[in-house]
Amino acid sequence: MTISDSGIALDLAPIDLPNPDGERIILGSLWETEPAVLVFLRHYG
Amino acid sequence: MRDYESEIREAGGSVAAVGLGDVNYARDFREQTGITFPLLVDEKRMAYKVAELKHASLLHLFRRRNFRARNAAQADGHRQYKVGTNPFQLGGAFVIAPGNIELFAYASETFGDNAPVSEMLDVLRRYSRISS
Repeated sequence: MTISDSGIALDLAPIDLPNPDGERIILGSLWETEPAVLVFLRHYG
Repeated sequence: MRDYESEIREAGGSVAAVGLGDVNYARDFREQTGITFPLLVDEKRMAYKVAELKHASLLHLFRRRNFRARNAAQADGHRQYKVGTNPFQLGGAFVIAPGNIELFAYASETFGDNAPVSEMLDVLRRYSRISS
């Protein structure tokens, strides 16, 4: 397992983005209790 | 990624996706695909920039790899919905554990270059073994 210290995870954590219902979600909450696979889509599909 | 959600869950992780465009794009996509994991909208590409994800150029469109990836995706029954406001923004994937520990990072080099799911599953399984 490669653990990076690039700091990207730390920088992503406080960003909050809306879901399709308009509720804002703090990215860090996604991996607060368990690991999360966070996928950045190029397009919807 | 929706095809692998159950495997990711079994490996001890969860899935979330960030997309471009706007909330309406995302809502249509969610309704048409029936995905149940969190889908977030990054209209201003804030998270994409922080994640240091790359951009393609017009030349990438004509690469053989792009044609192959598109054909493979169509053969698997996937279709492209909307590309959003920045069609040259490339994607990527991270596996992040509690404590902001980055277990895996992948930035796509061109269209159709997706993070290897098998590697993400391996990382999750190893993390699960270590942390239990």
